[in-house]
Amino acid sequence: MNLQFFGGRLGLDATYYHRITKDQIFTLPVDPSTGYNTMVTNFGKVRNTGFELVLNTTPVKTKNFQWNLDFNVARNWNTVLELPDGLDGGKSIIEGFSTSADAVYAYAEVGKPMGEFYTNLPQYTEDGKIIVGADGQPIIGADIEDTGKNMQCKWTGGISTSLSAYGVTLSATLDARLGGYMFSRTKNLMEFTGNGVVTTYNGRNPFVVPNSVVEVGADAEGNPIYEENTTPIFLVDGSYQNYFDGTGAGQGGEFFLINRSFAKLRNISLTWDLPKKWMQAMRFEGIAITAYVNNVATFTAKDNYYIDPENTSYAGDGDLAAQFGELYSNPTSRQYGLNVNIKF
Amino acid sequence: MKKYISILFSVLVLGLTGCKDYLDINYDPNSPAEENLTSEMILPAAEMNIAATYAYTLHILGAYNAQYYAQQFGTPNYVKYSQFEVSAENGSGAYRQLFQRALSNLNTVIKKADADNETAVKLQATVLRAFAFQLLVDAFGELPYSEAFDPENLAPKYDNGQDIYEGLIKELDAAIAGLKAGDMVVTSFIFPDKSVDEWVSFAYAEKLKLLSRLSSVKDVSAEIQAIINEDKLPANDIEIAGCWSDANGQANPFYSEERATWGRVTHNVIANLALVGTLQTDAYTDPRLAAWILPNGDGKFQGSISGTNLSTVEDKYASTAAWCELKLNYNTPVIFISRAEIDFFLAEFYARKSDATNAAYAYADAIAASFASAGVSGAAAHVAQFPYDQSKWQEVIGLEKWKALAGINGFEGYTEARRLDQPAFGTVKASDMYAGSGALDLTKYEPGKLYTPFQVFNQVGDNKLLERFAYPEISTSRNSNAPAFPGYLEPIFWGK
Repeated sequence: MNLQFFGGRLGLDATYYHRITKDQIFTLPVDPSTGYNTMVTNFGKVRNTGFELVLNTTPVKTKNFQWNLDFNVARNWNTVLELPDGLDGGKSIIEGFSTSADAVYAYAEVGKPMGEFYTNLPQYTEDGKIIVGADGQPIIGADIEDTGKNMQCKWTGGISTSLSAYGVTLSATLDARLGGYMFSRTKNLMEFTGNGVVTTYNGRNPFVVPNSVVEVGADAEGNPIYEENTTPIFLVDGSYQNYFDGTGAGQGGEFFLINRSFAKLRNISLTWDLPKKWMQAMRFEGIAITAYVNNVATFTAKDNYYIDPENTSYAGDGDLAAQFGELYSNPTSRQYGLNVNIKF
Repeated sequence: MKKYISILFSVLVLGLTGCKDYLDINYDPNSPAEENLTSEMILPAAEMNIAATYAYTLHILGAYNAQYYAQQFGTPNYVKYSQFEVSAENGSGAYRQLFQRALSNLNTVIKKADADNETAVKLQATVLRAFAFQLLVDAFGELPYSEAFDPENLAPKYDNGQDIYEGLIKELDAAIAGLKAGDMVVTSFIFPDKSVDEWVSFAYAEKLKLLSRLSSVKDVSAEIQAIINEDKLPANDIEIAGCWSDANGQANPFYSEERATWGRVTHNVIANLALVGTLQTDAYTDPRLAAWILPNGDGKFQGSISGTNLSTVEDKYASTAAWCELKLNYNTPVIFISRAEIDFFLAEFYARKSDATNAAYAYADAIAASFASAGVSGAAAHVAQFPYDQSKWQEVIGLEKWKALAGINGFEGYTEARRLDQPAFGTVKASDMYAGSGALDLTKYEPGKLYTPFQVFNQVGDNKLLERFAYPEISTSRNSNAPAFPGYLEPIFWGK
């Protein structure tokens, strides 16, 4: 749907879609007891439903001055409908990362958006206290569990604007993505090496895991009896590192999932189109000089002070796997530049 | 004009027919076509896959958990193993190597042997298959067996360990019974001289190894007696020896990773206090110790403690030179089943029947075979020092077997330590000898005992061995029929 008003000064473009993708070719990791490590197969059925809205406005327009302001917003609902043949249980791995202590996996699961994160999680008592072992470290379950977090984002949107007067144009673009999670190996490594901010907890002095209990035996019915934990975590003997890296600061592999939301001031540029009358003297059609800054600023979710969420350097195969997260990626850089455009 | 039409036509025909084979993307032109594969090409590769997994991957995991090895001062690699932790990730490598390479290749050999009616080749592949599957059971307890190797079934169910053991015994029985006189084996690294008899002896040794573990949970004395009556058990160690050379990819796999100049720069592995403190006491030093480990910088044997790399220790022990590395060479043999193990199994068989005389003979034979393997003398004196005692047969056989396996394979040592509960845990813990900083006091160690590591995995705890590895994540994350993990303290079926 495309609507234009006021002589083109207000335009609205709206799109709704409902698309079912069938039999995408996909390299499926399989249990090596099948004799194979991966299998190239057709990936069932995935439904994408959503809308996109684009609003173009020109609030001010005079002979020598023009202000354009454009908005766009999109929302996508993604659902896995069917999985490859031969998989029981309605769940198929897309990609995963495991270190010795924790593992994070993204699954395609029927009825959920593509990329549900599963990982090893800590264990809690019924009244919500975290269970630790005799060493004071949280006990991380050996089986993987659903975190309820997914790699799909919910909303995307952007604003772009430009102001032009007397041949000088100032323009800027901002865009945002909301919702969804990603695996961050950078965060994982920072807890391993100890340069993550959270590892400065309690000034790196010994501490007892807050609100924790330890199993001390069982009652007559065989149910475990818990007592308050008093065993501290120390820096010197390596248990401090075990806590932040090995147990994910008591959150298991979920600790290494970060919110992938961001807003990014992607670009600011200033362009000067040299006056036409100068051109005739130089025999050029036109000259434009642009000064620009790219990747001006990135605002991330408040728990993400690790990585630019657009850095999906994950070296998996296929588009799906690449959305899993990032693997030791370098920080993104801000770029400054100057362009001169000459037309003959 | 006609000429051009016919040329055009023949180009078309050529083009169309030519494309047929050319564009068949389902075959990789860089790999040999299935019809060109021979068992002689695949079987030695499967042997090497098993050798690398058994003598390196599983060996390291086992040797730290059996307290043969400790972590070198200040180095990081295997500290977790020395704390009795083997995670879902740590075991995945062995699981993948054995399934995707060794067992997958052996299945191809068995299929071809069945099709071509090559009964000796089938026996070879079946023995190696049983050996590899037994390793998997001993590590993980349960895993796909009856539904494995079916690409149509991406979620094979896990079978319990005892069923897998019994299935493997049936496979071995069928392969031995099906062997036709005059059939030839293919060449291999274990038996380069292509002797069918040697493969038969390996088959019996493997069957004895399976049955002996089963004997912990059911009476299999008739089956073991039948093996003894056949009298075909091997006289020597079954090993890959003589083919190694000092070059990348051609040396003993453990040496390649731990010691070779092309491998890791860090030397991670040193001898454990339990090993050195048990084999070397004030009264007696086991001559095998000098055959297995190198003296430290002072020319002495000194073992370190599990569960730490001692990076904060503050005395003479704060040095890599304080500790003993392994005596390991590019041509150190990879032993699959040693003669000493066979004799220990026989000693156990007689002990269970209360036949003290034969048990004592087999026990002495086992120690003699272990000394011979290590290339040292003094076996008789050793037996006099540690005589057989029927009243506590499990303790004496278990402890001597743990010592002997230190020089054979760490994973088998760990498996038998779990099954026979020997060595037992003493009253002293590593934390009684070391406070986390300051000095070490290693004199408190009780010879012949295991001890709780300085830091111990919190799902194992004090005075216990890790009973099993976590189910490999490479299976559980991909197979929806993988069961819930029963816990690190749940014994493998033979340890119940």
